[in-house]
Amino acid sequence: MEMLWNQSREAEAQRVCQEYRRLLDTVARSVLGNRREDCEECVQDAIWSYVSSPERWDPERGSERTYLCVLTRSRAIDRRRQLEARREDPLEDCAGRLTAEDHMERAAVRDGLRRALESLSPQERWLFTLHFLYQWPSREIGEVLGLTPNAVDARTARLRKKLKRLLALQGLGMEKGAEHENL
Amino acid sequence: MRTFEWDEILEQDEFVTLTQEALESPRKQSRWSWKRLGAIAACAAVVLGVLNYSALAAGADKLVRYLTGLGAVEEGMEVYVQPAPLEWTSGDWTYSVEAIQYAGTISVKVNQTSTQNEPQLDGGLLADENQEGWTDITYRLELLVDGEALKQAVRFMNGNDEYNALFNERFYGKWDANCRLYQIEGIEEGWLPAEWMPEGTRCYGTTSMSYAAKETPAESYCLRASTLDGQVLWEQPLKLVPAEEQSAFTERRALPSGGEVLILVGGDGRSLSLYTDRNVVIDSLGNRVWNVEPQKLFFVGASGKEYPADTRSIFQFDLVEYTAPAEMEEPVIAIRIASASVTNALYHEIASKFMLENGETVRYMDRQLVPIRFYYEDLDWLIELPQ
Repeated sequence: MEMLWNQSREAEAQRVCQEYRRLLDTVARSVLGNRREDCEECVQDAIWSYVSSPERWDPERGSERTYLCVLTRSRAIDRRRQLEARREDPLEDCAGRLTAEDHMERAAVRDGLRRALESLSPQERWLFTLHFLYQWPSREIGEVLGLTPNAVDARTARLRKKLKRLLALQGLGMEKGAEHENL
Repeated sequence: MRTFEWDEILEQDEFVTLTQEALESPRKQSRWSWKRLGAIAACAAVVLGVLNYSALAAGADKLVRYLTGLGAVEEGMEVYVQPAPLEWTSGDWTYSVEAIQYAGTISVKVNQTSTQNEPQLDGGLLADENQEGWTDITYRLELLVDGEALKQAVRFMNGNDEYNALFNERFYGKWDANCRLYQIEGIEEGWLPAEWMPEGTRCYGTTSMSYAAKETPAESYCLRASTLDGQVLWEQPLKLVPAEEQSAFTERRALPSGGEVLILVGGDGRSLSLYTDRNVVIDSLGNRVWNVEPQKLFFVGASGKEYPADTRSIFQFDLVEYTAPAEMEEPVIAIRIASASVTNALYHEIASKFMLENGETVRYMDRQLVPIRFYYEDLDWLIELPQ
């Protein structure tokens, strides 16, 4: 029974690897940059976590691909924070951050961001997710959307302006991030 | 002033929803590749003869073919493609279907576009929810052979047929085709390039389904869309024929991390595909080559100019082909793979545990297969073609 269970998990890990490894590599690299070993460990950790406890994935909330992306990104963010805390290698942030006055409650900041995102078109939200949340480089986003990296950069610049305007209406701001290094 | 990471503020559910939305967005690449595939098959490309190539590594006994428009495929892996594109217009919509059968699974994608800003839905079809900019619709999409609907299937590839069968059985059931129809605000500002949509497109949507093929391949199918309560919306005949093989020039290259890769170049020199035998163990640790993916690949012309390759892939079947771009008009004399990533699969032993039904915990050493990736920025492989 033990052998069958091991084989089953191994086969499942193989399947997940084959289907999603490139995507998950991109997710990890977009957070951790060229730290390849850290990226590989985060992806492996995410796959193993999924295969070990598949019951944690709720298909009602999102596809398997979505769940794996979220797992991988979570681990990459944790690793990034560990690295920054150890001051081994400062990692640049390309997507900027949300800013708010000190007096604003967290719930109010969240509501403001939600309203701003609801005002975006679906396409603009895709770009927000891939560029700002996942910090994918323009080349990778371009491959998904069938655009050149320059076209992606142009749309990102327009989205950034629009987002700043929408956030300002909610009393929020946007801090500009560093230039992203093409991976 | 305080600063927040974007996802620090969003609720987990919102983050998941945004991710789901972004990842399920329409892709251009696979549609482009399947249109080309259909066009190639329709033109009845000259078959230069079927040549088989021995696969990699000592002891391996696999043959590899080069299928037109698809690339390297193991002998025995049956692949069927459309001989001609399937397109039609009904009401406000123009439909196109892309289908391929690979190793027992038939993958079907239905694309629909309209030149209307607010096109009417097919009679009887209900929109799940209307949002600004898009509409969700759900319908049943069946693939029939001799009047019998094929089982819908989740497809994935690994070497374990028994596990594949078990997995497909678990997921058997009627899956409805979910399609999100998007409005394009202005085609110049659109997120998908205008060149791959019919001129004047204002709305578009796409949906994909997979089916378990019958043991004996059929050439003729019927693709049927109906409402969830059984009203037929449309039916179309769908043909699949065996993919054509072409001759290929081959070279083997040793990988810096161990193992080999087989490089196949299509008969006219304008396409390239790679093959690795994942079942071949390359060292005493049990390491195996899993995947080789060129990052920078160039087709070299007779003038010495290098042209970056276009990539065409059918992701769900792990089929990847690199092609010379359309603007390259001169003959190809060589192909340069400047950089690549290589993924190896390595067995690891780790301490693990599981719980029995009586609550007792059993600890054991688990042997797992984990992928390890290597990046080679200066690989610089040059494949010179015979002149």
